[in-house]
Amino acid sequence: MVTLVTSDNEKFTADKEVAERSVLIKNMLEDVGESDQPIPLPNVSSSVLKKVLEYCEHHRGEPLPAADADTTQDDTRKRTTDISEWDQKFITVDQEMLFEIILAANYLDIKSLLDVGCKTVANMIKGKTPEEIRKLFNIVNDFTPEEEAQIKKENEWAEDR
Amino acid sequence: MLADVDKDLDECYAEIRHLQSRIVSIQNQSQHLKDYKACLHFLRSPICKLPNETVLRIFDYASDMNDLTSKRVQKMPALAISSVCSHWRNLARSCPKLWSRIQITMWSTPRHLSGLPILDLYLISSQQAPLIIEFLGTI
Repeated sequence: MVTLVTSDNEKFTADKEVAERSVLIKNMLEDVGESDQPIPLPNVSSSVLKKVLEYCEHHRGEPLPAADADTTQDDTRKRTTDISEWDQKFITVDQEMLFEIILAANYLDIKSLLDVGCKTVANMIKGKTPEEIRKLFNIVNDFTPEEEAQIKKENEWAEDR
Repeated sequence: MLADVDKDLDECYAEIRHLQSRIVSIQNQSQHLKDYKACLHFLRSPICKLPNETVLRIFDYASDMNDLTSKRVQKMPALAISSVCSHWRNLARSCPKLWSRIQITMWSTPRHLSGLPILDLYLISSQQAPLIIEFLGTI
């Protein structure tokens, strides 16, 4: 078993096989060798780690992506944003938690979870106008008048800009 | 007498110039405050916590295909993303592959592709990225 300590000082224990779905934790465990020392995760809160461990537990035993999977990603292939049914249910959380999970997956280096999060946000963006995207993510239109004019020009042929 | 009036008039003009420059200065200040407010507002958005490479990963998934003949910005995710805010615009423009997946529906395409100005923007922005172009139509 592995003990993990969150930013709010809560302790979690997890099977080594489950915790090692995080490349960061796997590397830490390899570096320290056999030890009962708890692993501090200062960038992850208890509520987020609980969700992350739930994900890792569900996917335990599945093959991990190759370390260089990102750099060898084929740019000539179409992207798919399909998400499995369980993952979809798992990631149905409020926006705050969704982005916290993405941040944690990035920090802990859990590529499959990072992809689930990124695909979920991508699906939220797809099919929306810029104004709808701004509204959805609380983003302010900060374009200068010159940029605004350029965007208007780029979009002038569109029927529903 | 006349000299006194001229002096008063000069004073009035000087006061007007002073007030005009004060108005310009207040207008500049209010613009700075507006920009600062927009910046603070953006920082409150959870999505702004993500590092650029993660945001680009999201954009990459979102821009799986851009239907250039749809005449709808919603069907062209790269264009929609680059029209959200200046940060997203800079990120999207720095990532050629977002602009490289193009769909063209032949029955709604002008006789010559030069009649499709948005195609130029995509081809320029995709730079050296390998293009995927899907042509849809019936034979």
